[in-house]
Amino acid sequence: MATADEPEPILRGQDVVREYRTGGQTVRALDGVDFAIRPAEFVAVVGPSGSGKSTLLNLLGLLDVPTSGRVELGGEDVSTFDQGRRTRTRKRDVGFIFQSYYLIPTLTALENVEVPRLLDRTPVETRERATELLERVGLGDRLDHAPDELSGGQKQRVATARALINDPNLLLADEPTGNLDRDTGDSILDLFDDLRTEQDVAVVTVTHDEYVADAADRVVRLIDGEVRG
Amino acid sequence: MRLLARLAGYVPTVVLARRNVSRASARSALAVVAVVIGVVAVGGVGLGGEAFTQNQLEAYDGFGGVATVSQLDYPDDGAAEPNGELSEQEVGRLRQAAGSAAVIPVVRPANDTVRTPDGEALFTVRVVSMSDPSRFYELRSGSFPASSSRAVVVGSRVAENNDLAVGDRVTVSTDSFARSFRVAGVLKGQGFSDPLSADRSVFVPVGQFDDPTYDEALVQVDAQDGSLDETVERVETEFNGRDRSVFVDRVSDQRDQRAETFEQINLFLLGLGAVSLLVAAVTITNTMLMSIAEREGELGVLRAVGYGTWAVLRLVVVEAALLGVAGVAVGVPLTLGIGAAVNHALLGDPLAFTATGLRYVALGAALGLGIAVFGGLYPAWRAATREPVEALE
Amino acid sequence: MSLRHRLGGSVPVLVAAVRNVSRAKLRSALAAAAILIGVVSIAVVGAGGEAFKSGQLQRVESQGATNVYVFPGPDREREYFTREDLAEIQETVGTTGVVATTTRDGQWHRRSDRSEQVSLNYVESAAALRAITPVARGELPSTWRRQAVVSARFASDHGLATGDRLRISTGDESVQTYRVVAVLSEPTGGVGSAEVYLPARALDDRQYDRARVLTGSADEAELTAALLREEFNERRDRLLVFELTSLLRLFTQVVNGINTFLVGIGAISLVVAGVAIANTMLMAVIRRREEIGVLRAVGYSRGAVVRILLAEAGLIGAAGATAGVVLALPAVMVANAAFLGDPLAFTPGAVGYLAAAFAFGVGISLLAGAYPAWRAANERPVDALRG
Ligand SMILES: Nc1ncnc2c1ncn2[C@@H]1O[C@H](COP(=O)(O)OP(=O)(O)O)[C@@H](O)[C@H]1O
Ligand SMILES: [Mg+2]
Repeated sequence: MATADEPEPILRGQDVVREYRTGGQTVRALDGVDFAIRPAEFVAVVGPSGSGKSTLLNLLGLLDVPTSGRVELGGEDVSTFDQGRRTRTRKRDVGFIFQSYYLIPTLTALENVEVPRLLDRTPVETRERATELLERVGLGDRLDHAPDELSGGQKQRVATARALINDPNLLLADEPTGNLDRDTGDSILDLFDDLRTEQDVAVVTVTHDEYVADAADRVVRLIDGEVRG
Repeated sequence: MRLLARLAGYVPTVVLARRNVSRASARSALAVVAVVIGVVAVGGVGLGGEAFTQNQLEAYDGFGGVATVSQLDYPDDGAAEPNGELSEQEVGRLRQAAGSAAVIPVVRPANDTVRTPDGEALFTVRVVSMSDPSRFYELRSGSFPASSSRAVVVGSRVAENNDLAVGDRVTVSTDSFARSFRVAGVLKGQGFSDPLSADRSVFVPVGQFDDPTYDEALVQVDAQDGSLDETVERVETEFNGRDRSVFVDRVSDQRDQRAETFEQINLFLLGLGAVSLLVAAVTITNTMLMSIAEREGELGVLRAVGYGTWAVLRLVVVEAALLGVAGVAVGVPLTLGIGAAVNHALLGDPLAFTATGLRYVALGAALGLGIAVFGGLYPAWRAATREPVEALE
Repeated sequence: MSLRHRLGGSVPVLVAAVRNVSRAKLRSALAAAAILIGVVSIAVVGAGGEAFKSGQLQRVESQGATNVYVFPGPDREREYFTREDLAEIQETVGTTGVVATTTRDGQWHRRSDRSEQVSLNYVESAAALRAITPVARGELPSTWRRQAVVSARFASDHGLATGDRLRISTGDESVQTYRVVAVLSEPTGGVGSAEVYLPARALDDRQYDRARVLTGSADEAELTAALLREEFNERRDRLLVFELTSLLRLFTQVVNGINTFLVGIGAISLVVAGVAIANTMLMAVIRRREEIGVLRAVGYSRGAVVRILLAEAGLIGAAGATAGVVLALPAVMVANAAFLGDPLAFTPGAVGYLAAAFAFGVGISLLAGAYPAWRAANERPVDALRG
């Protein structure tokens, strides 16, 4: 399956099903989805609201495990991982950009970026790295601003920098350009491109934006929990 | 249900408050727990203390209509303490004055020691002698010996601390004799309030003393035959005319004094327990502050649609009061349960609640409710005085 | 790169806790206040009780707990000590001082027509008297013959002063006149105290009804008593030996029991304070649900989340407990001043109670924080982040 120009996938899913049970009802959010994410790939996930996009992203980020089917990381079934191992893997390999950013209101932009590494007791290195990342996303002059002093686009970039602080192999973004103007969106896409070419980071992004989908290597269309087209 | 709903319409504040309280159930539950602990602490200490008091005062039960009469050492000295002796002749005068009342002289020999057969002296044990101790005390085991026999009755502590039982022997030595006695009986426990300290005493038959000197005498009036007050009056007239020569003390007075001391101790303990209600008040304040912070927008809307400051204030205070009511509703039955257990253990009757004890429970309940309202005042004031525009931002 | 930042980086959990606690200032302050009240009530009751106990113990000790009291035993042929007996006792206890005394009831002939009973204590020498009782006013004579020393109570009750004369008789003997040369200082309570002290040479028979062995401490007294019992009472009870140590022990035990009971009632308020902390932390984790979800998503382990939240609870507890101990100190100092005469006379027991109150305050906070922390750490990040 893997050819010379198609390297081994970082993450692979086979017949992945995810059901939610709420109040006697069972909702099948993903209904037998197959996927493979390779290094440096840029995948866009599109679909109507409620079609299972976020659910898929959570599975990719090891925040969740499938009800049935397999999600493999380096050939291993992640559902055999215990909590601790999932957590460590997430920390090492995955970066998240959440739809509503979830920045911590009491921390400055810089400190927010540092959060994932705060417990590592390497304050000096962490600070250097966070500063570098914020400069890279164009916020070098906003290091000490609190989240409520930043615009939507700036918050988004802080969230992006935070996702990158642990040098992930896989960057997951839930509608990263959703509320942004075209120029800001462009700069985010440029950043993704840089990450892929320079560090082989794979990027998976949920989007409603056709413009983003056009920039992707591959588009996964979800409808009612199934991949179409 | 329909009726309930209609009734509820008349107390909208309470209805709103109740909904809010149950909205943050964990938080409210914890606040209620705090009140419960406080209510139980106050009520439980009160009931427990009362049960203990009753248990101690039981020692006086057999001493109804009894007064003690003792000789004053310095008849002309105002600050005299009773520690003289009553002569045979004085006892005679006493009998005369007491009329139909029984006079029971008590001997407390000097230099008294009680020893086990292997010569070990029993610590803190006093030798007492009086005719017919069965008048005042019941036995746990054995029987009261005849006045002439070589046998003693021992108090409960004496028996327990020294492993004495009926049939054992002890040596009693006093100024006038040193003899070996058989233990004929062991008294029931009387508690430390007993007028003769029976628990720590060894009762020797009076017949053992050839020439007894009496340290005090008990005067007992049978309720049918007359009143203790009159008898005491006659004794006072006989002995304490110009010079005071005897000290007459009604056992009921001693009992009242004891009861008062116990009540004071109980109040102190109650105060200490009430500190926990103070902490509960802080908890209520905290809970209500969180509650109003969470509902800032909502409260702003209420203000915007025309609720006055007073209405919002009332809403929040009622919410706090509800926490108090819940705390009391749980705390009072719990307290009564604990009280019943203590009553059962100390008094043998789970329902032996006294009016004073129940008053302490009521006090705990009132305090619980009071501190809940008090704790809600500041948050209510804060919520009520907030500008609606600000709250709705 | 500031030093503070570097230092903070080495205790990240603490830094995060400080920041979060100060985020909800009023809420945290109230929870700390609850702990404070509980800690104050434990510390004041416990340490105050200790001061009371020590004060009482000191008083008892000053009234003779370092003495061993020796009386003629029931198995002796004589009911008094002779000088030979005393020498034998002295030999047993070695260099420790032995003071023999005789108590008698005497008649004080105040006026020719009237006499009063008075308790007398005959002592061997002025030095011996000084060893058993402090003298407040007057000089003791080096050769003691016709002089009397009176207790402070006796002197004040009867308006006696040094220089006054006392006419005293015992039993069938004739009346002797003594001059009051000194007054003892209060308190002169304790075993074997009397109203009037006279020289032993005034006794015609030189029979002593008791002796006391003066040791340096209550412990030494206990040892000495054991030694005497062993030496004299092996087969027959030739001596009755008493020391107050066992009485002291009983007293200590009773007071400790009462104190523990009171502290227990005080501790109820600390339990309520624990409830306040639990409430505060529960609010904190509900408020910061998403934030904690993010932490979990970016790779914080459950343990790390628990640690951060426990540090918060512990911090609130420590703040309250510290303030509580500081507030309790003046009250304890008042108790020290009242019972021990020195506000700074903190006994080890009192310090123990202060430390225990602090530890209990912090401990209960951690315990109360455990459930909210556990709950927050176990929420699945996916759920927390679902908006
Ligand atoms: N934790 C959950 N509990 C119950 N149902 C859920 C949960 N998460 C998602 N769902 C349901 O699963 C379906 C897919 O949701 P989601 O993946 O969030 O869709 P999208 O992100 O594409 O809008 C929806 O019907 C949603 O209601
Ligand atoms: Mg979604």
